[in-house]
Amino acid sequence: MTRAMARPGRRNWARLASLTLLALGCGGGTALAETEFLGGGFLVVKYDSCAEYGWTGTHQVLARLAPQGAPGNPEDQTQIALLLSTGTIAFRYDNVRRYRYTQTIDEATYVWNGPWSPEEPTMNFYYHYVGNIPSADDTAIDNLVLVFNNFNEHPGCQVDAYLALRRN
Amino acid sequence: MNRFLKRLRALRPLVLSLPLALLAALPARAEYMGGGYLSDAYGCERYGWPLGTEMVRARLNARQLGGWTSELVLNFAVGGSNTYRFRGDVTQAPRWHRVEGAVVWGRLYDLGSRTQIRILSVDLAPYSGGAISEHAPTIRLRARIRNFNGLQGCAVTATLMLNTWDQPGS
Repeated sequence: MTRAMARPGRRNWARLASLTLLALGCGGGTALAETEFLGGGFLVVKYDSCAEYGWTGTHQVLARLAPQGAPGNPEDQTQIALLLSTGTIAFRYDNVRRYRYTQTIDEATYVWNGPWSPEEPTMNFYYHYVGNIPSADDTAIDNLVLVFNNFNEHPGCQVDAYLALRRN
Repeated sequence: MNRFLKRLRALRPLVLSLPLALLAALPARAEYMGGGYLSDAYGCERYGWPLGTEMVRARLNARQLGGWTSELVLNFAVGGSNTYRFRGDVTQAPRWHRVEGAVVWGRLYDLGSRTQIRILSVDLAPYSGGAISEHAPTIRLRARIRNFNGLQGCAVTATLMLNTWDQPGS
């Protein structure tokens, strides 16, 4: 690969070009010039509290976050999308910049098979007291720990999300 | 000759059980899994990728938890993956480790001999500082990679949140 990439032939340039297009396509998921953070981490189920719903252990996750008040973003709505291997959880909330304060999720959409958006989401979370609280002027959010309750709308299901994100 | 073959056959269970015994003697390795992002790309413009922030999933085996090498696997959100294997602990240090590994983009490539990795920091997330041990289920790892993806002169930083999934108590 090193040799091939160091002196790319036509085929390699073609591959790189397609790669670039792919990267551009993935980055261009938003219609407006919003401020977005990209990254990932993991979800971990606590106290085996979700076993009855089929959730156990650790799950790799990719994540997107659009903090409120940043250029191109709403003033009163932060958006987070958790891209799991087999589904997506996306939600909006008005960020209260306090630790251990239960953040109320205003809208949530769960895509496991067809989008499902409950009238009033029961899932909520708070920021771990050692981690970051997202703000409009961050460059990196490398220590974001969301402590979820009623994760994925499952009553009593407790999941922690550990995320590292950076401004795109 | 027949007698010799009979003796050899008698030894067969031993021959079969030896590798199994050796396998059982290896310490159980904790595998970390999670994800994060690539950033601070330098010298990658001519390849067209990576340029901005790139989402990745990752797996990590640290040498200090058993084994002869450390291993990092990056699965890029845009497809493709890199594996990195180096003879060093996953510990913050100024040294660059020589890396062996593989690159997958449509087909399998060898990473070549010029790729290097440097561990910029290890934190016991969400806290700062600390070191990888059997009692450290959650870590944040930052590593700088030279000749990333086998691309000569292209360097990136990987920032990853990782959790052990196969250890009791994790």
